[in-house]
Amino acid sequence: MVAKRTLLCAFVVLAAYNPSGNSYVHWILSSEHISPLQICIGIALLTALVILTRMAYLSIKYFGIVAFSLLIMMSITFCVGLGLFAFQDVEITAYMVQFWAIMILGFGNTWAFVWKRISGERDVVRSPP
Amino acid sequence: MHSFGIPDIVARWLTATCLVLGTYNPYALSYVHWIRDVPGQHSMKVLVGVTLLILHVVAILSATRSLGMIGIGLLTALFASAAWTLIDHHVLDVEEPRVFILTLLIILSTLYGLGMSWSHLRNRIAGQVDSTDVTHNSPI
Repeated sequence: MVAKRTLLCAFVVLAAYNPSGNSYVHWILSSEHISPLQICIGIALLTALVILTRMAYLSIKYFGIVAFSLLIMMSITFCVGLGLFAFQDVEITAYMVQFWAIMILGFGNTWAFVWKRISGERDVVRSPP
Repeated sequence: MHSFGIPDIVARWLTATCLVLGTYNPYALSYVHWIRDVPGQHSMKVLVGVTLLILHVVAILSATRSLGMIGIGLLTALFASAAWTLIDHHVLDVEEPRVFILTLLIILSTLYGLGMSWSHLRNRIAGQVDSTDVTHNSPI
């Protein structure tokens, strides 16, 4: 359940930008003229990012974002404690930031299911004003 | 339990397309053509007109409630840019006014279809439930 949603978020985030050179941002920057197809795909990616971010934010809010960020940081500390790698090896790279964003989006979009399973309560969205 | 999938979206989109094109399309066989070109049958025309009006209100309400103004804006921009891509690749010829109007109507029907599907999709992706507070008077 978490894996499928995290994969979906990873696809959208990495398709928009990743440092490898094959992403929407690189595609735009490397072309001389912006074509309608590029605009269409840009709006589609923007829509997907807005949808995923909004749903994740509604489920976990700022508290959840901070809590999951701490959880990720503590996992790194735990791995350092186990001796898997040293603190000096941990660098804040673009991949690291993207991994963090993907994990927050993945957890955020799964949280309502976890909450329903634990407590039986549903996350309810009111109709927009 | 039934899981909302692509056939359900397609069914809603087809229904919305029938509704929109049945109300008006630039070619023939629509409610507007019937009103304009065929004399008589007044009671039947009023009945069908009111039914179509109710269906449009249901579709617009469900789309506005589940997508919101931001969602409708983003999707309209997406479909408009998709149409632009098709025009740029000479798939659509919008110099012909009827094709232009048909494109706008298809975009509207797709918005209706996605509006009716979005609450199901949101529930399936994020587990969140869209709701309408029926105990208080909502502006929409």
